[in-house]
Amino acid sequence: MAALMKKTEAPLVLTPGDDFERLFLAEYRKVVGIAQRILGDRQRSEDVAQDVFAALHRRHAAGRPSSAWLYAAAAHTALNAARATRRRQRREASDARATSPLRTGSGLAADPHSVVEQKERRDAVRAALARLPPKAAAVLALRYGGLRYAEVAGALGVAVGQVGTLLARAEAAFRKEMGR
Amino acid sequence: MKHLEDGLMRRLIDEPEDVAVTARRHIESCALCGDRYRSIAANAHAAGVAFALDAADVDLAMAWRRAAQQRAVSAVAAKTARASFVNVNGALVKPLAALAAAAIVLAGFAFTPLGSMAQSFLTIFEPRQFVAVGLTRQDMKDLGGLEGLQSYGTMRELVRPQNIAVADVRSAARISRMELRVPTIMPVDVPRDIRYRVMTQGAAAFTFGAAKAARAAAQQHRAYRAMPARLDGTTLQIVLGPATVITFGERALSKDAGQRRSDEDALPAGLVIAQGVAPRVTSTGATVQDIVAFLAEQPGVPAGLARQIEAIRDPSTTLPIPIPIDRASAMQVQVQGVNALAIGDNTRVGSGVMWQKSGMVYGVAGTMPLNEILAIADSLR
Repeated sequence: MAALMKKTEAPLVLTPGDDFERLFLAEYRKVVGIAQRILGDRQRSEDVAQDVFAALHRRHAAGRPSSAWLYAAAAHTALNAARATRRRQRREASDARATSPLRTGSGLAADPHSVVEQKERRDAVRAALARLPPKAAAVLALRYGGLRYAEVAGALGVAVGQVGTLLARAEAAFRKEMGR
Repeated sequence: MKHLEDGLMRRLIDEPEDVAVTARRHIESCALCGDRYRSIAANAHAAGVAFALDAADVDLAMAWRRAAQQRAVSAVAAKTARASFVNVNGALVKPLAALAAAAIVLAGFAFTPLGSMAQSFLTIFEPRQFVAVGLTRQDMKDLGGLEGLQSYGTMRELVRPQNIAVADVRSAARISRMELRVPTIMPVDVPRDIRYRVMTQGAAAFTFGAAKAARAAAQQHRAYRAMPARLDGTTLQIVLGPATVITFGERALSKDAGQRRSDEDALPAGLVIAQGVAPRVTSTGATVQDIVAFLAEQPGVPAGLARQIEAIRDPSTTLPIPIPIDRASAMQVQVQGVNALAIGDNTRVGSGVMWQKSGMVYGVAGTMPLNEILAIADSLR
C-alpha cells in the first residue's frame, strides 16, 4: 500500500520507465476500490482503473500528476461510467428479470437467493449514490475506497478540515436516499 | 459553551488521533453534541455497511500485464495513420471492417434470415478451421450469375432464431446461455459506445430434389449436370447459434462510412466481436464431398474456385471463406493457441480474424490494423 500522503508532500513526479510501474503497483488496488464503491462491479472497476492509469501515462509528460489526481480521476471516471450505463439502460430493451444465478470467478453461486439479495442490495446502493450530487458521491467513494482524510482532501482539492463536514453531509444524504 | 462542528465530530470517528482530546470530553458532557454525534455515527455506520465489499483481491500481476499491453497497443495505434478513403477506378473503397473477416461472416450467418440461406453457394458444415478461398472480380461476377440453392431443392425453417438487443454482457450470457469472452485490452480510441445482440438458436432443413433441379434448369434455359441418385432426397439439417455480437462504435462500422472522403471526417476505430456455438449440418444421406462435388461441377462455377474447394483436405470440418483477392489478403495465424484465419484489406483500414476453439467460433474485426485485432483477439477472456 502506498505511504500516506502528508499535507506538505510534494506532488509525485513521474519519470518514464520504472516510476510508472511502481506507482501502478502501489496504487492500483486503491483505484479499483474507489471505482468499485461507485460501480459495484469488479470487472468494470478494473476497466476504469486501467483507463485512469492509461490517462495518467499519457499526461505525465505534459504535467505533474499526483496520487491525488489518480484518486480523483478514479472517482470521476467511475461516476461517468455509471451515468453512461444508466443512459444506455434507459435506451435499450430491458433484459429478463435478474433472478438467474450470477456467474462468478469460482463458478455458479451455490445459493441463488443469497446472490439475488446481494445484487439487489448493491443495485440499491448504486442507485442511491447516483441520486447524490457528484461531489457527495465522490467523497463517499474516496473515503470508503480506503483514503485517509488528507488524501480525500487532496483528491477533492479542499482543506483537510472540510472533509469531515463533506463526509457527514454525504452520509446523511446517502442514508436518506437509501431509505426511499 | 461552544458546540462542536459536524466535521470535527465526523473525523473523531475515523481519525481520533487527529482530533483534540477535549473534543471527546465535550461530547461526553454536552447533551446536544452527544445526540448530534450519535446521529453522525449512525449515518457513518450505515454507509460503512453499504459500501463494504467482499475481500476478493485484485490480481495485480495480470492487471499490470494488461496495462502494459494497453500501452503497447496505444503506441501502435498512435503511429498508425488512418488511411484516407480513396477513389479506385471511380468507386470508393469501402472499409473492409464492415465486410470482411470473422465477426462479419459469423454475424452474417447469425443474423441472416434462414430463408436467405438458400442463396449461399456453400452450406455450413461443422467448421473446426477456416481457409481462405481467393476470388477474382470475374469469379465474383460469375458466382453472382449462378442460381441459388433453392433451385436444387426445398428449404424449410424449423426454428426461427430471435435477434435480441440486450443491455450488457451478463444479459447476453444469460439469454444465449453461453460463457462469453470479452477483451481485456482495447485501443484507447475505440468508442465506448457498446451494443450487445444475441441470436438464439435457429434450425432449417434443406432437401435436395433432382426433379426440381432439372425443371429449374429447363425453365431458365441453362446447362445442368444431373443430380446423383445418392443426393436426390437427401435432407440436410442446419443448426445455427446461439451467437452473440458485441459492437464498439457502430457508427465507425456503418456502410455509409465509406462515403467519407477526407481525414477530417475520419471515424474513430470500430470493433466487432462475435462468438457462437459452431454451426452444424447433419445429412440423411449424401456426404459433404458428394454435395461439394455436385455443386462445383455445375456449369458456370468458376474453375479456379472449384479447384480450391476440391483441394480442401477435409471439407466436413473446414469452412471456406471467400476473399476478394484484389482487395484483401489472408493468412493463417495463431490466436488463443489455435490456428486462425486472419484477413486484412489492402487499404489497411480494416482487418479481422476468426477461429474455432472448444466447439465455439469466434471472430474479431475492426477498422484498425491487423496487429491490434490480433492483440484484442488474444486478450479475450
